[in-house]
Amino acid sequence: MKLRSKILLLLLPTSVIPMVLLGGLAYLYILTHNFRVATNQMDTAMEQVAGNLQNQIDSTSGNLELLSASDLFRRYVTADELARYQLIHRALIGQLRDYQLANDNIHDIRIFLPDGTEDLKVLISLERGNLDRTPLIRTMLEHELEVHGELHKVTLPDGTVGLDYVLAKMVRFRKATTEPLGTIPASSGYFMLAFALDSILQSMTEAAKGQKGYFYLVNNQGRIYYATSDAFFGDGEAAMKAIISGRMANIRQMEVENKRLYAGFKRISDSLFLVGAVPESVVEASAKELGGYFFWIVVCTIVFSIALIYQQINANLVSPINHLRRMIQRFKDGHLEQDVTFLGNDELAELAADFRDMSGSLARSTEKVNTLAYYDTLTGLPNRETFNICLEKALKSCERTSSALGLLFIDLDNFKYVNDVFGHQAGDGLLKDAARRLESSLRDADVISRQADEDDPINPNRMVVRLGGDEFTVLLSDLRQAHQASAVAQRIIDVISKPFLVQNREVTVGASIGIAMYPVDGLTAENLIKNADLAMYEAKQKGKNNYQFFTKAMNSAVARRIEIETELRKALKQNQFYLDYQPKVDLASGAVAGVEALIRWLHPEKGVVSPAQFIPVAEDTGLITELGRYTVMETCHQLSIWQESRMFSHCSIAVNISGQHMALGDPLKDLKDAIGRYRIDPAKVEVEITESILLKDEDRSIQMLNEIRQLGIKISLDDFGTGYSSLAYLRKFPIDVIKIDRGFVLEMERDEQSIHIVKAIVSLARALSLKIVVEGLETKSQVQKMRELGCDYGQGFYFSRPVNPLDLPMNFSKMLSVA
Amino acid sequence: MNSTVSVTVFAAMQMRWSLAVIASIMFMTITVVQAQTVATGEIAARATTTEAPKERLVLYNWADYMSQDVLDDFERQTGIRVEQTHYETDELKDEFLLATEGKGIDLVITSGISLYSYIPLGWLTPLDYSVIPNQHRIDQQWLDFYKEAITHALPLYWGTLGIAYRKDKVDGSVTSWSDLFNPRPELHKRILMIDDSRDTMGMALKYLGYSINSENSGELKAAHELLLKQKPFVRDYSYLQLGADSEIITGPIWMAMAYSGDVQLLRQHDPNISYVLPLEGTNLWVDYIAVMAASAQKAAAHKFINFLFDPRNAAKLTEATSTATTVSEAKQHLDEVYLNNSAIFPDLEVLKRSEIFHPLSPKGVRLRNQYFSEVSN
Repeated sequence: MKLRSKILLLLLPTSVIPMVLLGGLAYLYILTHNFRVATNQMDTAMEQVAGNLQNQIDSTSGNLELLSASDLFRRYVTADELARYQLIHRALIGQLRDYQLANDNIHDIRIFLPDGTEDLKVLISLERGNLDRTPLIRTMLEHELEVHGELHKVTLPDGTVGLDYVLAKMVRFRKATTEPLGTIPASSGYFMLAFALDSILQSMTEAAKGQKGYFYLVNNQGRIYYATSDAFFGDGEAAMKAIISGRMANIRQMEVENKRLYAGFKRISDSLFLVGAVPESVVEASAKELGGYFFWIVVCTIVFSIALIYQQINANLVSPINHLRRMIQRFKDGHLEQDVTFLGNDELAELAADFRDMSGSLARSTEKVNTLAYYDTLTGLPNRETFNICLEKALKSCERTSSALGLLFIDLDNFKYVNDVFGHQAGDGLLKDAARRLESSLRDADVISRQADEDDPINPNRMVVRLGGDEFTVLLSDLRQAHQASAVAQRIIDVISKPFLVQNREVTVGASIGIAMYPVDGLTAENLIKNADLAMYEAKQKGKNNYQFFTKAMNSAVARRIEIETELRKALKQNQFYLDYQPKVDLASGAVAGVEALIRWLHPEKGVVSPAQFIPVAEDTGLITELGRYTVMETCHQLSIWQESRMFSHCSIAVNISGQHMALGDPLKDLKDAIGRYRIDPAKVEVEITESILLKDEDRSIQMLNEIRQLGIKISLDDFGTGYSSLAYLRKFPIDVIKIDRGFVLEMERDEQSIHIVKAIVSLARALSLKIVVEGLETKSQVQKMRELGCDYGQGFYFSRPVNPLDLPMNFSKMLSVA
Repeated sequence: MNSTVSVTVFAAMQMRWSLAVIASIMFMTITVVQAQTVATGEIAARATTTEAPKERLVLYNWADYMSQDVLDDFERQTGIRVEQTHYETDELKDEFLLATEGKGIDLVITSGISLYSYIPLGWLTPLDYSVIPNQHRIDQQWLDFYKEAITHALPLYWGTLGIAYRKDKVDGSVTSWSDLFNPRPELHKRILMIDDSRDTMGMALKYLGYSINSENSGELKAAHELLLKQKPFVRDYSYLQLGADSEIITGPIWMAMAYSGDVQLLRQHDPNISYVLPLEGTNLWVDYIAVMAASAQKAAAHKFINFLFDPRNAAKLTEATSTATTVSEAKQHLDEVYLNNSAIFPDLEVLKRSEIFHPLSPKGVRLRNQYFSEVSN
C-alpha cells in the first residue's frame, strides 16, 4: 500500500469522528436556540403592534379630552337650539373639519345629544364609515359609562374589512341658569372620535407574515375583531379564550383544538387583546432548515479539511520523498552532481542535504579521476596534467645531470579564422592533423635524444602536448645546444605551414613558436612555461609563422603591459578618465554639426597617457568593456548637459565602440542604460565602429548594429579606406556615415590616385545616401579640396584639436572662406 | 409622538376660535388708541375752538358695501365719524359676534334671516323710531318682508341671487339654474359656489322645484345629492372676490353663484362678466342695518341710520354698491343707467317666482348644515 493511502486511512477516522460529534451537538444546540429565538421574535413583533395600537388609542383619547373641552363645543351644547343651529353649528363643523384635516386617521367625529341621538358628524369621506354609531352611545347610556372605547368592523370601499377604534366620552357642562354650583351637572351630550386602524392592521398582517404565524385582535370574551388570516382557526372564539385565559402573557407551547402551537397575547385594554400564534411545525421547520444548513457546513468542512490535509501531506511529505527518489534514480543512472535543495529544516531537508553532500564529493572525486587521465581526447596527445608531471620529472633529471632542456610553446596562426569560417568540427579536424604533423616532426632522426624508457608510455625526452585550444608545447630534454631547439622549431613551422585539407579545401595556417631554455631562461616549470609563452607572443608580434627565443627584454615589455593593466584597473576604480571632444564641421556652412568623443587618461603621476598605450592593453584584458561603458555613459551625460544649453543643443556626439567591446561586452545594453539614465534623445548619439569589427562574426555584428540603430542611433564607419576595406560592406551593414581615413588626406597632395579613390567613395556614399566625414584635415587647402570633392563634414586640427567641452568653438565659417 | 402632534394641531384649531377673540380685543384696543390719537390730535388742532372731541361709530359690514361719500357727508354734518370693520363670510361674522357679543361695534349690516337669531340672543337694541323720521321713506313692501324684525332693524338693501359667468368663455346662453347645477363638461373645476348652506342648498332646492325653505328631509337629501353630483365641476366653495384680482377676472373661474350687487361691481373691472337671474326664480334677499345692544353710542347710531334713509343718501348707496335701495324716492336721484339695469332692479316677473328665506326650525338648519358640510368639505 502506498504511503499516501496509509496516511489517509489514519486521518479519516481521527478527523471525521470529532467533526461529526461536534456537528451533532451544535445541531441540538441550534434547535433549542431556534425555538427561543422564534418565540422571542414573535414576542417582539407582538409588542410592537400592541405598542403602536396603544399609542394611537392614547393619543386619540387625549385629543378627545381636548376637543370636548373646547370653548366652542361648550357653547354649542349649552346654547339653546336656535343659537346652536343657526350660529354655532356651522362654526363647530368648520373647526372639527380643520382638526380632521390635520389628523386624517380620525376619519369620523360625532356629537350626540344627552338622549343618545346623533346631532352632528364630520366625516372624511362618506364611503369610509358613514356607520350608525348610536349603539355605542346606547351602551354608554345603559351602563352609565363616562368613557367607552370599542372596535367596529367596517367594510372598506374596496370591499375588504377595515377596523375602527371608536372612543366616546360623556361631557357635562354646567348650565348656569338651571344648575346651581355644588351639584353634578347633567350630561350635556357625547363626544365621539373614530380612527381607522388600517395602518395597524397592515403592520399586524406584515408582522404575522414575517413570523409565519397568525395575529388576532380579540375582546375579553375571545370574540375576534380581526384576524390576519382565517386559515388557522375558523371561528376561534374558544381558542382565543383559551389563549388569553393564561395568567402569563408570555409565548408558550400549548395545544388548542388539537393543534400544537406557540401562542401568547398582549393586553391593550380590559376588553382588547392582541393574540399571536405560530404553529409548532413552522418553528420546527425553520430549525430543521437551519439544521440542514449546518449539516452541509459540517460535510463541507470535513471534505475541505481532508482535501487540505491530503494536499499538505502530498506537498510536504510524499512529493519530496518522490523527488528524492527520482534524484537517487538519476544518480544511479550516472548523473553524479545533483542539486537537491529542499526548503525547511525537517528531516527530509536534512536527508536531501546529506544526499547532496554525498553526491557532490562523489562527483568531485570522479572528476579528479577524469582530469588525471593521461591523454587529450581529441588529439590523442598527452594532456597538460601529463605534461606537468613529465616536465617536473625532466627538470629533476636535468638538475641531476646538469643538462639543458628546451621548451617550445606553439600557437597556431589563424586557427580562430578556420574555426569561425569552417566551424568547430573542421577546426577539430585541423587540430588532429596538426598534432600528427607535430609528432612526426619530432620523430625525425635529427632530433638527438636519449634512448627512451620503453616501459614508459610517454617519452619524456621528446614529447608534444596539447595544452588546450590551438596551443601546444614541445618538451625537448637532453639538449646540448640551443640551435637544436631552433632546428626543431623550424621543422615544426615547415610542417605546419603546409596546407591542410579542410572540407576539401586547402587552408594554410602557420605556427608561432616561443622557445625557453633550461636553465638560462628559467629554473622552474612555471617560469619556463611563462617565458616560452612570452616568446611565442613576441613571435606573433613579429609577424607570425616564426620562432623566437625568450629574451630578458621580452620580460620587461611584458612587465610594462602588466603595469599598465594594473594601473588601468585602478584608474577605472578611481575614475581617472575624461573625454575630449573634437568638433565635426559642416563643410557647407562652417557650423559645428557634432563632435567626436575621445577618451583620455589622466594618470596622477605620469600625466596624460596616450590612448595608443592603454587601449590595446584594455582590449587584451577585457577592460575595454568597462572603458567603453564609461565612454558611452559620459557621452550621454554630456548630451544631457547640452540638451539644456542653447548653443549645443543640436550637436550630436560620436562615440567609438571597439571591436573587443562588441565581442566581450554588450554595448547595446550600455547605450540603452545611458540613454535611459540621462533621458536624452538617442538621435543625438552616433556610434563609430572600425571595419575590423565587421570582419569578425559577421551575423552577430549586423544584428547588434541593427538593434543599436533601432534605438535611433546613427552608425558611422571609422577609418574607411584602410584595412580590409570592401565597398561591399557598406551595403551589407547598417551604416549611416562613413569617415574617410586621414591617410587619404595625407596622400592626396602627392598622389593623384587618392583623389580618385575619394571621389569614388563620395559617389558611392551618395548612391547609398550615406554622409561623409573626412578626418585629419590640417591645412586650408585640404579643406578646400575636400569641399570640392563633396564631403559633408570635416574634422581635424585645422579646425580644432580635441578639447574640453567648455572650450569648444561654435562656428568655423570664417575658416571656410576662400579669401 | 403621535399624540403630541395631534394635540399641537388641536391647539392650533383652538386658536382659530381664540383668534376671533384676540382679534376683537386687538380691534377694540386699536380703535380706542386711534380714537385717542384722533382726539388728542384734534384737541391740539382745535384748541382755540374749544369744540368737544368727535364722536365715533364702528360699523360691522361686508367690504365694498357702503358709500364713503355718505360717511364723509355724515361726518361733515354731525361731526360723527363712522369707521368700518369688515367680515368676509356670514360664518365669520357669526363667530365674531358669538365671541364678542357685539362689544366694540355700534352698528351692523346683516341679512334678514340672521336677525332671527341675533334678536333672541339680545345682541341688538330695539330701535327708537322717534329719532329715525326717515323710516317712513322705506317702501312698505320691504318693511313687510321680515315683519317681526322691524322692531330691531331696518331694511337697507335688497337684491337677488343669480349666476355670474364669463360671456367670453361660456358658450351659448345661460338662463337656468340647470346651467350651474348640471354644468357642461368644459366647466370642470371652473365653478365657484357660495360657501353658505342656506344659499347653496336653497338654490339647489329651487332648481329641483322645491321651496328654498324646505324642511322635508327627502327634498333636502335630493338637493344634497344634486350638489354631490355637481361637486367635480366646483373649483371652490367660498365667495367671489370683488377686486381686480378676482379669480373670475383673472381666469380660473368661469361661472359662479353670486349676489347681484357683487356682479355689478365686478363688471366695472371686466365687462365680459354677465349676471343672470335664472328663469326658475331665485332668492330675494334683504340686508338690514341694526344697532348693537352693546353699543355705548346708541343715539349717534340712530342718527346715522336716519341719515342713510335720506333719499339722496340712499341713491348714493345704490351708486356706490350697485345694489338696490329700499327707499323708493331715491330713484328720483338715480341715473337712468342704474334704473334700467335689470340686474339691480330686476323684472317683476322673475321676482314673482322668487322667494325669501324664512326662519327654519333648528333641526332643519342642522340638517342643511350637515348636508352642506358633507358637500363642501
